[in-house]
Amino acid sequence: MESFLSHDRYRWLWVSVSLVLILLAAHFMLTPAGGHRGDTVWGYTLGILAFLGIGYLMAYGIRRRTFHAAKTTLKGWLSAHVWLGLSLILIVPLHSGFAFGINVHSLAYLVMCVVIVSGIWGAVNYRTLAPQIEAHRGGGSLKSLIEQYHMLGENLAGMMQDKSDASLRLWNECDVTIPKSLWKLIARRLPLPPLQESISKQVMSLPETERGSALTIVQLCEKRRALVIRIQKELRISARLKLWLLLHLPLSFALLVLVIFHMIVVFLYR
Amino acid sequence: MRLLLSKETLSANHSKEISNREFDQRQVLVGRDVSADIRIESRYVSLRHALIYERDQRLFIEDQGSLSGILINQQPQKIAILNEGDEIRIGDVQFRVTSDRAPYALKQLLDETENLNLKEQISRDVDQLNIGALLTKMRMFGLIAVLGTIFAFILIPAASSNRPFWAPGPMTSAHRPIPKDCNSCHTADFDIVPNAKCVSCHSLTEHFPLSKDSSKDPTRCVDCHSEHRGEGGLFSLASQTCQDCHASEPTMKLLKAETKLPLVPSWKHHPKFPLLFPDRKANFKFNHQVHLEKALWSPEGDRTLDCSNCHLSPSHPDRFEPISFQRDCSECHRLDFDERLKEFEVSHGRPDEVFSTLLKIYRTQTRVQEKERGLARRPGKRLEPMKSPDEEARLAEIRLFEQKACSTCHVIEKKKVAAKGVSAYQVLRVGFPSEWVENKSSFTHRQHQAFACSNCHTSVLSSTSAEDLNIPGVAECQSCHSPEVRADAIKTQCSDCHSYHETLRLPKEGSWHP
Repeated sequence: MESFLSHDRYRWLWVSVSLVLILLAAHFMLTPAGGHRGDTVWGYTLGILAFLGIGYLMAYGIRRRTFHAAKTTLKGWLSAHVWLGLSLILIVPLHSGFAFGINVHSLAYLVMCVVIVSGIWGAVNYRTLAPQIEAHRGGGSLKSLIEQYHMLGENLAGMMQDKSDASLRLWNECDVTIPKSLWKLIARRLPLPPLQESISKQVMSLPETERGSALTIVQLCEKRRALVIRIQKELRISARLKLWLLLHLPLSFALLVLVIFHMIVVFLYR
Repeated sequence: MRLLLSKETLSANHSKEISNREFDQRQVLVGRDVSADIRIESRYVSLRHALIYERDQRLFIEDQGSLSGILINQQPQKIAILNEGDEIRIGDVQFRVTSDRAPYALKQLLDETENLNLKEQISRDVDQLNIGALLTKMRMFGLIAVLGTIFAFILIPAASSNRPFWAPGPMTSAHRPIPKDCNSCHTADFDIVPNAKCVSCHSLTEHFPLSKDSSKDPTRCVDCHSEHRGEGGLFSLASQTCQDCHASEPTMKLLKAETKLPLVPSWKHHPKFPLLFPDRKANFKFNHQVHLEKALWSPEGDRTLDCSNCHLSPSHPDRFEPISFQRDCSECHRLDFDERLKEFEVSHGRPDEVFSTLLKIYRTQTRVQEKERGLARRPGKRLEPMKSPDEEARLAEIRLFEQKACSTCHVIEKKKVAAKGVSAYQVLRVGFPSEWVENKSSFTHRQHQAFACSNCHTSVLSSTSAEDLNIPGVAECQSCHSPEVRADAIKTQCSDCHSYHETLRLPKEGSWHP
């Protein structure tokens, strides 16, 4: 199937690669006196090109929120967004003549790189995880998984109401709960099954009357554990699919601020 | 023991309600058991969890071997005395010791989770675990990123007057003594450095004329000399800098610059070097071709001259020594004037000086007349009348000026009336200016020493007249320097030859070298 990367037979990859090659060739052919700098005609050309590029990439954010039919497909836009975005990593240093320093101008480039790298991460995540997300759901949404988890908990609680402390201890030993924080759930390791030895020890300490229900407790807890694992995996995938945007989007606006400020400083503060 | 237990609960409309229970018994049992006095239905609470009782007029709590123990102020305790304000945690329920009523009172704090029904618990978890909802906060993150950037990198540096973080690069070392304060040069924030700031240290009157009010200067120093580009950045003048104005008419008009110079978008368009004196008359006869012939006759034997025999290498960085008759010509071109006085020569000078020299010689050299008489005594010869020294001088003058020496090179005019004791001729002033072309360049011969003169002065070898102008034209420069003529052209910037708007000091016409 054609993905956003290979859209239209890698059309935008070729556009991007040829653009970079042409600019590189021109860069080495045109050597202004005093070397390459942002304020030569060639420097301005590259600077304007990079700025228009940033504008075009940010326009994708508007395009993807516009749902009315357009002549261009959203997939085409995304493809151009990804491949042209990558080319900026090189166009901007060509603009500055590979001059960097500890200043607001180089910071703008650094921020741009973080935006692009986060974009690469996001694109890789889409490629690798999108097929998994369907498989993990097993037909159910996250909400239904949570529902099942709570129903099982309710069942267990009902069952344990008049049971002895020993039964409760067994329950607490086997059971797995969802942490309240989303971050913990994403970062925490998947819950391991309880140790067989300790369970058999617990079961042995149960009063005679309650030994029959011990198996049910262990089984229900195991089901709950499986549910928590599925919820956790599900959340991890959707986190990797979405959380990169927390870096990508806000920093792209910060980048816009820095680029505009860069222009103000170099033009007005001479 | 009397104990008041007040319990916080949530009513149906989500407001807090408090229900009170009073115990008046020896001890109060806390647990999951149906028989417990304070019953907590929790998976972490034992059937018999803890006992609360009074001893020595103090309230005690004691663990009954429970599942999860008791926490008093977050510390696990087996047995503890309860004081006012203490917090007790049993399972997931929390109590606080209060003074609501004497002698003892406990308050069971609201546990929000406990009061949720299944549906509420599910929707709470669904909300909490919704990553999409987190992303709706993106606008806030974006705002934080934008405001944070403005604050950290724009406002904070703006608070100080030294803002190296804004500068696009390091300053040149020559400018380091300037106080590290942006406003030392940029008079105000975001202000372009005015020329007055540069002129306060650099005297630039030669460089280009500054107006008294520097705000009215059509161009600024920093337009070409940009600081914060590291070492050498101030002087890396690209042709582009000149051509920004000189290549296109609109920019010239825009700047309201008044120039008669043609537009020079590239080497190809470089104008011809403008002659300073296009109508000059050389008033001189000189044949380069003849002088450069091989094996030229000279009194010392045959010689082959080259340029440097007459055009002596410069004492001034870019001026050749002026041609001097004494030094350059006299070896071959003798200024003798009388067969009888071969050893005498006049010196190269003004006609009146020459004539007075002649007079002096003939008046003192009576030998000439004696020779004449000796000749007269010969038989068969008629005695010619004896000439006076003044007459001899006049005759010698005619030989010198009209027949022999002077007119070889100079244009001579005979005066209509010649006063006594003064030359009858005048030599027209030689039209050799010390500058030939309007020199707006800083061209030096030194940079071109590796080449033969005729590489650039191509017409010299075939020049037969002093009227010929053997100065190289733009074409000669272009043959090496213009990329339009040859691909491997020597790279040349405008500033390699020209300096910026230099005030021109023109030489006077026909500076004359005797």
